Amino acid sequence: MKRLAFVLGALWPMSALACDGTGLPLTSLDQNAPRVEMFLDDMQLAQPFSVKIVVCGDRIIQKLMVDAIMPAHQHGMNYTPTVINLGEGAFRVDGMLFHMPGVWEIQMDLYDQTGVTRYTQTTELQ
Amino acid sequence: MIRGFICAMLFWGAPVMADVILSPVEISQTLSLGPWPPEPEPDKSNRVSGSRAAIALGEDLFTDPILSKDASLACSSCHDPAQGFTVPVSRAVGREILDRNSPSVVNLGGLRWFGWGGKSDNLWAASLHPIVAEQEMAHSAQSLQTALSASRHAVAYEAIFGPIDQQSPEAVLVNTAKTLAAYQEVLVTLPTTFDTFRDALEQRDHVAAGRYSESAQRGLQIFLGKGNCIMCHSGPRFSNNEFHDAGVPYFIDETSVDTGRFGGLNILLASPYTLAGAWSDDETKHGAWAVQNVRQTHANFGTFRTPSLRGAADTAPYMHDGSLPDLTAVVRHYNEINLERMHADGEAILQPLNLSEAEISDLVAFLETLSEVPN
Repeated sequence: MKRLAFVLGALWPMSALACDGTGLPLTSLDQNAPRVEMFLDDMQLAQPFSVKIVVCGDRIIQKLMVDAIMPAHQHGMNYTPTVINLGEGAFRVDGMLFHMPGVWEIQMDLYDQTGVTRYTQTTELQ
Repeated sequence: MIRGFICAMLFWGAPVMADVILSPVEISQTLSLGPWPPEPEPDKSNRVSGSRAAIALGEDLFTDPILSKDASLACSSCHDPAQGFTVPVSRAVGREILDRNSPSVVNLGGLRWFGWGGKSDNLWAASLHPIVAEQEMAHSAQSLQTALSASRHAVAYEAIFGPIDQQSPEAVLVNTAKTLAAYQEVLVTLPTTFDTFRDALEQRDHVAAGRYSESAQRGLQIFLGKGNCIMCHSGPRFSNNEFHDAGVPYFIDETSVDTGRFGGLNILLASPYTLAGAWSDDETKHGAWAVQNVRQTHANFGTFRTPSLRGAADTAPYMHDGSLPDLTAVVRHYNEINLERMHADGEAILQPLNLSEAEISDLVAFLETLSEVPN
């Protein structure tokens, strides 16, 4: 399903990616947080991959920061991903790299005029 | 019935045949450890990568002490082709006893990081550092150019790179390192007994797979499961090529420590010889993202690059300081790992494995098949 979502994302213009349920939803403890969907590139162990993120709604986003850890032992990524603003609430995150198999938690901090909102989503890499 | 048939074959003097004892999940994990060898890919940052002339010159230079200022050391002094491209001593001996064990230089093509501390992001830079390191070959770029100009290698060098006296000393140094890299790229270990097993599993040929010993299969199960070795020793190279604290003391002596990746990153980030730098021949700077985005954190202190396990049985002693004499000692190290030695902010990945003596023997049997070339 994730692979299908990515393929659709790659074919559609970014504006059409917006929040139609085809992406993997990121979750936030803030009930007022805007919906965010993520489109995962094909992940391979110890190889760089990209993520596309779409923030729903019309909030003006000041900054997006993305990171990931392995909750089992708090080990993080060895690289700082690069976030590229594609416009219309869409972002591409390059330079993600999971160097160990297992469950990874992708963390995203969204900065806007209301402050910082933390989102997470877990994914498992075999 | 099948076991009865196998017993009968044993009675008749046939070779020992074991069943495949791996679960479907374990078979899937095993398939991820191949195929081997990988498709060779030219290094775009090295314009002589894959060049026969450069490979030949690199091979010639590799064993020539001309690359050391006092003509006392060749690359092969610490990376002996007859001994798995390493030497059987704990710490390499350059102009003095160095801090680390000589890593083998086979299977290096296509890696992201080189050396125990990862101070290079490409093979030509990794080949350049020892030539100018004061404790190792101690050349300057100028003295190397002078030595090379007067040597029998000058003709071959100029055939590849042009007149040597019209190049800057630094260009000669980099070009020399690129021939050494071209040579090392073609040093690839042969498929092993393990690969035969792995490929047979992929082809669903359980008869052929069943020729892999049961002891090695049990060891593989430990590698994948109870031992969780695959956490870091993953993929066809049996390494994630990243950096970990393996619980080995990082004191070099009573007053100094080996900072591992922490120090390696400092050297890397100050180096002009990276994939992002002007000496790379790749205008697209492919692969430069790693040096541009790698994180400098305190957790890097005392971490070392995960070594490949291919050919490991031929390259004792082990660990970054060569402190463990054989594969059994390595398994015992992880079996009884001293968590007190782990860094306070390090990884909570390693735990004592609590393997039995039989399990230790099986895991070693598996590891040995990563070096064993079938007849």
